[in-house]
Amino acid sequence: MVAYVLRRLLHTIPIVLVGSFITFVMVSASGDPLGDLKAKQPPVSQAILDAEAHRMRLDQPVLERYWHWLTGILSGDWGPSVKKIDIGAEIWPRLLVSVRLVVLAVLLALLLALVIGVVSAVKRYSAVDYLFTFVGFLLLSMPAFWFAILLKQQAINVNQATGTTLVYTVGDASIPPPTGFWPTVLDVLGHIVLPTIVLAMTSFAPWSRFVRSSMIEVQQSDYVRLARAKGLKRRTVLVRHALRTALVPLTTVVALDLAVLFSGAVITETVFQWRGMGSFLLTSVRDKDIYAVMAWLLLVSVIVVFFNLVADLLYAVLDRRIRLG
Amino acid sequence: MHSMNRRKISGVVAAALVLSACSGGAPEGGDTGNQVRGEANTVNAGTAKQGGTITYVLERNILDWNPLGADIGVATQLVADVYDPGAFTTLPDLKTIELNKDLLVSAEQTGTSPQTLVYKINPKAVWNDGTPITVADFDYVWRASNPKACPKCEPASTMGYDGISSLVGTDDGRTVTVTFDKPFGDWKSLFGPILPAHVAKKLGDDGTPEGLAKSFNDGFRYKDSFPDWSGGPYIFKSWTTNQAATLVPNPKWWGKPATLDSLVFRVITDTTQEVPALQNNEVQIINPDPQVDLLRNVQALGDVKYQLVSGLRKQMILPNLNNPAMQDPALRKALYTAFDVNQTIGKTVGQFSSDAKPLRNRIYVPQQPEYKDNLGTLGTGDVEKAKKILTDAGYKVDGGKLVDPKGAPVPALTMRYIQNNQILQTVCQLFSDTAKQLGVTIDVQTTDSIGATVTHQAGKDFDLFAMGWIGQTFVASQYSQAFMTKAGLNFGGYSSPVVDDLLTKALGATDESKAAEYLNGVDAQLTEDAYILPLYQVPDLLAYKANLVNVRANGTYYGPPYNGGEWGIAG
Repeated sequence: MVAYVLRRLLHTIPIVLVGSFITFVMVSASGDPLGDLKAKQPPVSQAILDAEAHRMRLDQPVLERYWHWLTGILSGDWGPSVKKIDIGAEIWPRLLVSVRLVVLAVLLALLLALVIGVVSAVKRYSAVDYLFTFVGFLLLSMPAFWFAILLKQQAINVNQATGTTLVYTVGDASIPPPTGFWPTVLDVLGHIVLPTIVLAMTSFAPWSRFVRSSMIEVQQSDYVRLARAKGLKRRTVLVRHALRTALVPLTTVVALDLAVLFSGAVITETVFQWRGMGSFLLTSVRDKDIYAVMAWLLLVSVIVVFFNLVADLLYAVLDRRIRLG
Repeated sequence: MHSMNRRKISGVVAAALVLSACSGGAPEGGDTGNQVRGEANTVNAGTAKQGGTITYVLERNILDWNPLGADIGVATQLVADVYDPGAFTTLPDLKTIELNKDLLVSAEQTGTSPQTLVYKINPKAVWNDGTPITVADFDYVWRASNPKACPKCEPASTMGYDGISSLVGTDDGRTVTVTFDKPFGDWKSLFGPILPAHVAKKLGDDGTPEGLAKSFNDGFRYKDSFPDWSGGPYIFKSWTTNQAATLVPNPKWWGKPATLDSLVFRVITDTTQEVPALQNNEVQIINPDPQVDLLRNVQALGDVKYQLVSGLRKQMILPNLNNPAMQDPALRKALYTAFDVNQTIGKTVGQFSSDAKPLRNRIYVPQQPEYKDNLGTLGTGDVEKAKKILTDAGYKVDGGKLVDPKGAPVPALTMRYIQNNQILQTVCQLFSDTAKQLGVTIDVQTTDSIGATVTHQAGKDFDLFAMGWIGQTFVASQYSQAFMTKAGLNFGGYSSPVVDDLLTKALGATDESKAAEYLNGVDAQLTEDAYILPLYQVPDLLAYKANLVNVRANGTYYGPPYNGGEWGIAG
């Protein structure tokens, strides 16, 4: 297992290198990072423009810039920012914000997807199945931003009806923050509940469909029929035999979705004004902040590789027939 | 080339090219029952009770806290309004430039040859640590903004400061006498704001140009930090980047005491999230670009009042004279004459602001006494007149295409606007439709970077640009940068000896009426040369909780927080 993990990690190095070089060239060619500075009013002097171009390494060939960036990363230097931010200091807290936003949502979505997917599969073509199918497709087809706005409005209505601000619509905490333990806890919960629901619902819908279809397929397999024929309890057959196998394809989907979510739930972060990875990417692209965009891309590629590896390892745990070596 | 003083041009700094993100939509008809109207400088005046917190929305994060620095953004100034004092403030009526009576007892021009100013500082004026505000603070701003004293300093503007020959303090430094070797008409724009010299010393100002530059460029920028000083009604308590600045009353403030427990400036970068936050009482004041739907939502809120005023932000159509196709004044004049600005307003901002009217002057707005209609036939929608202009200049229409006097077809022109701006998209489309009647094809395209598009470096890829512009009350300084040959804001590459001469005279005019005469002369000459078509003033929306007092719209660069120290909750 350890050898497998190491080999997989070694395989990812050339992939990340090639990918990062291609993206570096593409991002570098996407526009002039100094465009806004050149239009600054009163106009900045040519000396300042030259100094900025030098600071941003724009006076170097792209290959040299890439090399400097790559070697800088190894020593913890993420490169110069157009907006003169410390990219390293900026991106880690943002990753934490995204993680905080995502973890609860994913747990909630997984729980719902498993329960509803299994019930739908077991009660196939029943009223319950049709209801869950309808809800699933409704959530699948509903744009996240629209759902978020609807949810916000309902939350505001609840607040106004109760005369108390129970749920908040922007940010991850009140400013100034409340004092005391319980007010702080309630404040945090009040801020996290809406984005969690939005993220959970948008993820739960496709996941529950995966669970349903996998469960239906597995239920029709020979070994499940054999288990039933042997007289095993229905619950045991479902949980120990069918669900375990049905979880394998879901693992892949969730692992890849997790990578996307950790890289920034852009819409949810925008609607609820959370300063996570998604808004970092948006800001960096808007500012044509090459190294900030590259930092995001590098981190995301590492996250994708990591979760792919996690998915592979989970296969072995969920399906004993799979041997990693 | 001289740079402009920050206060004069600061509206253009960073935001010079800010375009309104308005959207076209349903016709006006929302409930205007909660709209506040009244005298611009006193509307919503009231008595505030002690206590409470008000949260004001900033639409941009702040990366540089130096309100005089080259990197300043609009948000920096909005916060600086409440902690960093300046000599003068422009009031919401857009014409009154009021002395800051908390900081100064008086500021007068006592001589014109040489031009001499005398500032008398309020004897009570101190920084938050008790250090008196003196000539040293004025001297620091002068040194940092004067390229001769600090070649490496990066101020937003040096204009006016570079003409000062001496700055002397008397009366224990409480009287500041400034003498110029080059007259400067917009002198009221100077020292707005000042910076604490004793803090500058801690930030690196050791009397050398290098130390001065270090304190100004890096020190007052407060990267990853925030200013820990104040000479205004509030002082910083905390700042979290991308989140919010919290300010509390300055205990050493000598003026009328602030009533709030805290004043929060919260960063919300998505305009559409501002109204729900206001409705949910998470913020109490928003100042978004108005859109039909957004305004309707504000109108539907029961406990919210709003103002919709015409400020100094303008929309205009800029021609690029660097491109050969736009170099003939006759073609420009015909295009601008055929374009119906009034009709365009009806299909754009007029849908949510009945006060929107065609702007008939590039320099002044109707609220200012110097405003006069200098546009002649431009913007009138007179297509026949436009055709005659072209015919008289030797143009012909062949097969529906305009052919220039040399017999070459007029090429298709590229007209740009900033992406996602539906209002300007409509403007461009209407302009294109009008041009078609003259046989001119206009290809409407977007840009994601106004700066990159209009920059003075190579690669100007537009013939016409529908863009926004934040005007200033210190117009000579601002528009000399816009219209003087090869000046910084001269994005269209315009050059006229007549205009250069008039602007030079306006800049040096110590008589305000004379300066206005010169500047209206500039505007008239621009009409003659058909350079830039002004469209309208962008409506400025301010919405706030109904229980707030002394909150009012200010369509200048100072913004609504110009009187933030007076904000409070109705008693």
